[in-house]
This record gives sequence, C-alpha cells and structure tokens, in this order.
Amino acid sequence: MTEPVLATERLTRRFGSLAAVDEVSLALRPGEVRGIIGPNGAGKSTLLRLMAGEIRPSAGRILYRGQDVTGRPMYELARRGIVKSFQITQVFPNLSCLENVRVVVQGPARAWNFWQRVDLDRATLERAEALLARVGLYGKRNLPAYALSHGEQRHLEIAMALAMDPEVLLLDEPTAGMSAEEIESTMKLLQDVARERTIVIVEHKMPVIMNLCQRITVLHFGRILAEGTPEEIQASEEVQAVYLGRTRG
Amino acid sequence: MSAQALLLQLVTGVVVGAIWVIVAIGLSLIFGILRIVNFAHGAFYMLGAYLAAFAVGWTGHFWIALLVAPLSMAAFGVLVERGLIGRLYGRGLVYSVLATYAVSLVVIEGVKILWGTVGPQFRVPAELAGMVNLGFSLFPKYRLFVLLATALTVLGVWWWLHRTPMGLFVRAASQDPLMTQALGVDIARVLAGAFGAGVALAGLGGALAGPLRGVFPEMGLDILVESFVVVVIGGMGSLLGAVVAGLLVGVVQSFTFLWAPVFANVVLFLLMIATLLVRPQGLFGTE
Amino acid sequence: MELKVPSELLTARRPLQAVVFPAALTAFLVLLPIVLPYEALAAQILVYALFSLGYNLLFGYTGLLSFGHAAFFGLGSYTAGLLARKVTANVLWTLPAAIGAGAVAGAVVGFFCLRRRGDYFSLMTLAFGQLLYFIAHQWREVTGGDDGLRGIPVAHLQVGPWTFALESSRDVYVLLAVLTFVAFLGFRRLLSSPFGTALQAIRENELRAEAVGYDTFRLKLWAFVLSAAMSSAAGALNVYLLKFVGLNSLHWITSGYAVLITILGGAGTLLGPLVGALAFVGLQDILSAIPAIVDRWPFFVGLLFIVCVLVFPHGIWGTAERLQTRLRWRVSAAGEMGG
Repeated sequence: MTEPVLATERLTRRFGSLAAVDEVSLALRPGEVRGIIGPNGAGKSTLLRLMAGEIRPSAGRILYRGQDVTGRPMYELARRGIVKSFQITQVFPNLSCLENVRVVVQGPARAWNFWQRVDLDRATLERAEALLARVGLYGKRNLPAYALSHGEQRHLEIAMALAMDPEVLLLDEPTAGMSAEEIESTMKLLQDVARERTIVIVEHKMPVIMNLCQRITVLHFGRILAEGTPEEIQASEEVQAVYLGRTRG
Repeated sequence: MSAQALLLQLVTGVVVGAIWVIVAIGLSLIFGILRIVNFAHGAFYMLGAYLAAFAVGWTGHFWIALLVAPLSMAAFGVLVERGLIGRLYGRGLVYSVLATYAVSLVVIEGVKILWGTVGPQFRVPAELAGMVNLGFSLFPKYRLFVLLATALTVLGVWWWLHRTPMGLFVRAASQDPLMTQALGVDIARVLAGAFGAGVALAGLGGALAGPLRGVFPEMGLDILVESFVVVVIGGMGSLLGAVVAGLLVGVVQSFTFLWAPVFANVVLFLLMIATLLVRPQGLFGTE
Repeated sequence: MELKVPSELLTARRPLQAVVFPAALTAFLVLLPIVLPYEALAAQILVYALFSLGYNLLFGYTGLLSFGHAAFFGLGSYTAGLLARKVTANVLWTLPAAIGAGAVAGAVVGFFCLRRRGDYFSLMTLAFGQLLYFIAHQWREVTGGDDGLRGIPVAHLQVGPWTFALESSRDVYVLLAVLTFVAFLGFRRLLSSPFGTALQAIRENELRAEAVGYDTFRLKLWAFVLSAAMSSAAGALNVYLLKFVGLNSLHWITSGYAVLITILGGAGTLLGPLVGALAFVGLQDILSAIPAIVDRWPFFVGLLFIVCVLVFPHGIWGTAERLQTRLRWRVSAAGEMGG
C-alpha cells in the first residue's frame, strides 16, 4: 500500500468536557476521495477544521507526507498543500470574481511585494481567468462576488481553492443550500477535480457522497463508527441503525 | 509607612474606583446589549454633572439633583438612541463609534455654547460636609457617601437585570436579539431602554463626581478612556467585572500616587495591557 | 452594499489613467494654494490628507479601526520638534527620524493590539494612544507637558552646500505638495501590488485570506507599521508648518479627526483622505471665521458627521465613485444589449 498523503493519529479535540473529535485515526492515500458522514454533531466539521489547522487538536497528531504538522497555522498548511473550503460560503464579497481568484493565484508568498502591479500581470490574469472558466464563471468575472447566486459563490470558492493547486482539498458541505441543478454541476466539477487531487468531503447528501467517494468514514459522537467502500457502508447494519435510517426517515 | 496611612490610601483608592465602577457599568451595559462602544459616555457623564449642579442651584437640594440628573439623562439617552444610534444597527462597529464620537463633540461644544467654558459651582452638600472618624483616620463624609451610593447603584442594576421582567428581556436580547424578538419582545424598546439606563449611569457618575472633581466641559474626556480600560480589564459586558476592575484599578492608582506619582496616570494602561496579555477576555469576561 | 470598479474596466482605461491621475493631482496641488485665501490653510489640508492617507491604509483598506493614531501623529511631531531643538532642524534628518520612530512604535503597538479583533482592537489602540499622551503629559522636562513644545527653530533642507530654509507657509507648502504627490502615487501603486491586494482580501474576509495561505497577522502588522509611519511623517510636517507641538496632538480627540476625515472623504478610496481633509479643514476655517462660532466649530463638525453617518456613509469621494461605477455598469449593460 502506498504511503498516505495525509493521516491523523488518535486525533482528539475537546470543547470543555465534550470530545467533539475523539481519537480519530485516518489515512488518506494519494488521489483518494474520502467521504465523511455522520449524524449532526458527530464531529465531522470539527475534524475537517483540525485537519486544515483552523483549530488546534487537544491530543493526537496530524501527518502530512509523513511530516508532523500538528498545531501548524492554517495559512502554513494551505501553502504546503492542504486547502479547505468552508461550510458557510467564504468569499471576498466586494472584490470581483477575477480579483477573488487573482488574490490566490498571485500567491501569498508574493504578499511582501509592495510595488508590482498585479492587475497588469498577464500570467496571473490568464491563470485566474482559466480557473474561472473551469468552474463556469468566466462570463461573470467582473461582477463583485456578492452579486453571485449561492451556488455560483460556492463554485467561486472551489476556483479559489484550486488556484492554490492543493494536494489535499478539504470540502465542508460543498453542496449545502444548492438547488438540484447546482448540485448536478457541482458534482461534475468535483469529479473532474478529483482526477488529480486527494479530496475529503463532509456532506449530508447521500447521493453526492455515494457517487464521488471511493471510501467513506462514518463518525458517531466524535468516534469512527465504520469505514469502507460506499457499498460496504450502505450494507452495514450498524451504520444503518445510527445514521442512514434516521436521515432517510 | 504607617498602617494608618496605608489604610487611608486604600479607602481613598476605593472611592476613586467607585466613580469608575458606576461609569463603567453603564458603558459595559451598553456594550453588552447594543454591541456599541459608546464614545459619548464621557460627555454624558459631564452633562449629568451639569444637570445636577443646576438642580442644586435651583432647588437647593442635593438629593433632588441626584434624582434629576440620572432621570433626565435616561430620557436624553433614549432620545439619542431613537434618533441616531438605533438607525445604525447592523451597519458595523465603525458607524456607531463615529456617531457616538460625533455626539460627544456636539454635547461638549454645545455645553460650552450654552453655559461657557467655565462650569457651575457644585459644592459638597451641607449635610455631607465635614469629616467622619474611621478609627484609623478622619475621612471626608462625602467620599464615604459616594461609596455607599455606588454600592446601592450596583445592587440596583443587578436587581434590575436579574429580578425584573425588563431586565430579563435585556439579558435575553444580549444573548440572541433575533430569538428574543421571535418571543414577542419589542426589541427596539429594550435596546432603547438599555441605552437609556447606561446613559443614566453615566449621568449619575457625573453627579456624584461633581462635588469632588469640579464641573467643567472637558471633565468627561479622561474618565471615558479610564472607564474603557476598566471595562476591558473586567471583561466586556460583565457587571461583576466592572465592579471588581473599577475598585482594583482605583486602589492600584491610589497607591501609585503614593509611591511613584509619575506613573499614576500611566499605571492604568499598563494594567490593561497586562490583562490583555494574560487573560485577553478580561477578568470576568467569557471568550 | 459596496460596489467596486470591475478590474477589466480599469485595465481598459489604463493608458489614459496612467497620465490623467498624476496630471490631475499636480494641477490640484498647484491650484490649491492659489484658490484658497492663504497658504497655511492649503498646507494644513495636506498635513491632514497625509495623516489620513496613512490612516486609510489601515482602516479603509485593511478594515482595522484604530482609535489611537494620534499617538503616531504626535510622536512624529515630538520627534521632529525635539530633534530640531536639540540636534538639527534639517528636514533630511528630522523627517526620516520621525518616520522611523512612527514605524517602530507602530510595530510595538500593532504587535500587542493585533492579538485582539474588533472592538477590543479599537479599545487597545485607544489605550496605547492615551498611554503615550500621559507620558508626554508627565515628562515635562522633555515635552513641555501641558504647555507643549515651544521655540522650535525653522526647519530647513540642507543638501551639501545648499540650504533652503522653510521660512514661510509657502515654503512648507511646496515641500508638502511634493511629498503628497509622491505619497499618493506610491499608495496607488501599493494598493494594486500583491501586498495591497492581500490587505484588501483581509478586509473583505480575514478567515478566507488565511485559508488561501496568507499570514494575516504579519500582513496586518505591516499595514499597521506603514500606516503609523505615514501618520508620523504627517506629524513631523505639521511641526515644520506650526513650529510648535501641542500636547493635544496626542489626544484621542485627534485620533477621532483621522477617522472623521477618512470617512468624510470616503474610506477605502485612494483620494478619500485628500477630499476629506479639504472638506474638514475648509469647514473648520470657514466656521472659525464666523464671529458667533470661532472656537466652537467642533459643535458643527459633530452635527455634520451625525448627518454624514446617517445619510451618506460612504463619504464624498466614496459616493462619487459609486455613482460613477453604477453609471459605467449601466453603459456597459446597454452596450451589450445593443451588440
């Protein structure tokens, strides 16, 4: 078996006396698409936030390409290749779509350049425009982000995440609040993206997860309840009992 | 240094702190419920002192002044909230800060236009003049009265917040305005009431401080920043925090005056910086 | 809601703008002292414009509401004033010294204050500002305390054997105009640089900026330092003009003026500070000339700001820019329909 690209070892995060994530050990193979499901409050979002460095774990380790990155700040992990998109849409509302992506394309490493005119930098602009085209927003590149529909904003977020050229993409409910049509196009987009990257998706919509993911981890009260292929998870009676039964009912 | 002198300095510090406590509670109340940093608080304090001084001049009774000042300031506060602050909710911190800053300019300069740059006389009332023997030292009777008045005020505010229906609405609104509204509470009136109460406390603080520190248009400028510091040390929106921090800072400053007078004005800010480094949410604040 | 100029439209207008902006700014700076009744007024406007330009970088572009910028303005003034009295009045020494002092103070204050966000950040900057105010107040031997710093010699520019004394307000104005020109062009450049874009990203959504790899703390700290240094330079220039440093230059009321000017002109717009300073200083001058008002001008300034906050919160230049953008959108929409 190949070396995991991202792994957690007995990762734990407590809020007061509650362990939102409790000794979770995961190993992601390169190129894998992993779904994380579980009832509300199972600790899915917390796990993703831990993996992105948004919050620090109370115990346990996070390994990225074999290196310990536990407790590193989010911006550093983002630069090294672990990028997260948020549950609640997070764009730069008053910047245009192009500027939103450009801020990422130009690269945080260049943030100390006080002089160059990025708005005239051809390579930066072309790459940003190409990314917008990929998520289907090229035609709206000059609109401010707040003027986009909810689904379009989420696509813009994906474009921004791709602009980082991440090795691992962490997606927190990428289809939340979308119309059926928007979900369709988002799934196509994600399938396309998945060909070249490792992805972790937290999602409530079963069809999305079942379609996209090779493996699924089920969380329950912060612990791993089951892990396996979509078929195995669907067949598991334990999972049915705590999760599938409830959401389908 | 004798134990008597130290005790005297301690009591003096507590009295200085008492004024801060009253002003800071008002500030903290307004912040906790309206999420507004009220830059006009010092101006309201000053206006309260003016009104109290005039009330004493007209009626000859300090006790009437002590009622008139906070009550009329409460009305003034409600007016300001309805006319200005209330129109800025949801527009972010900046606009409310700017608006209250502008109100502060208008009130201070307005007072100068109406009554000149020199304030009215405000003497310690006859019944509270003179000294009282504390056992270890003689102490001005009026200062002890300020302490008593502060204690009663704190109890009153606590009672209002925790034992009256209005207080419950106010506390609920500070937790979740939307939810409170959904329960059928007229949130606009609660917010106006809370602002009015905060302003009334500023006015009361001014009325109590007047005989001690003199009444003049700029009297609120420094106390505004000082009470910000007290609120930050105590924890924003915490009643207990404002009380403890106010008294603590008063005592610390009082002793600094004794031992290192040069630092007396500065020690306040050093305390605040230290608090923020060690316990950023303040002594009694929640994260 | 805000409207921003779409980037492509900016790009399309670039060749023209590259010339138009510096030319218009030059024309403005040349005409200002001619149009106004006296040069000191024009100079005062530029001092406040530079002060607010620095402030605007932090507030308008990075989204940080500082209420302690008087500290840096005053620090620049005291640095330049003290150096002039004790060491040299050469602007080539006093101005860089003031800028350096502002930058260092900005780094220290920023380091502490940026650990907190929102209201706490504002209050901490306020507290640091007042800390400096009281230090200056107590340290009479050096600062003159309440009386301020008096007897500051006339500043001069000494380059090799040539010396130009900044005797009159006109001399100071010329220096100010040159620096204003450089500063505004430099800021314009800075705002479209990767650094400037990153700051605006932080203003828009700090969490998101961090998620795409920006070290937001360091970026904010740098914005703070630059902003403080700029305010400090403005403070030094004010001393060349007034030959006096008042203790009030450190007071939080002065910090408030920076906020007022920036919002009046339009926060987050390049020219906002210049327009705001023109309006603010102009208004102050007109009001104090009215016999019934004189020293009571802040009353009317306060009233104006209450109205401003209520009816046009985007300021003069901000409102103008939004109208222009809306118009351009309408034109481009009409063009698309036609084509």
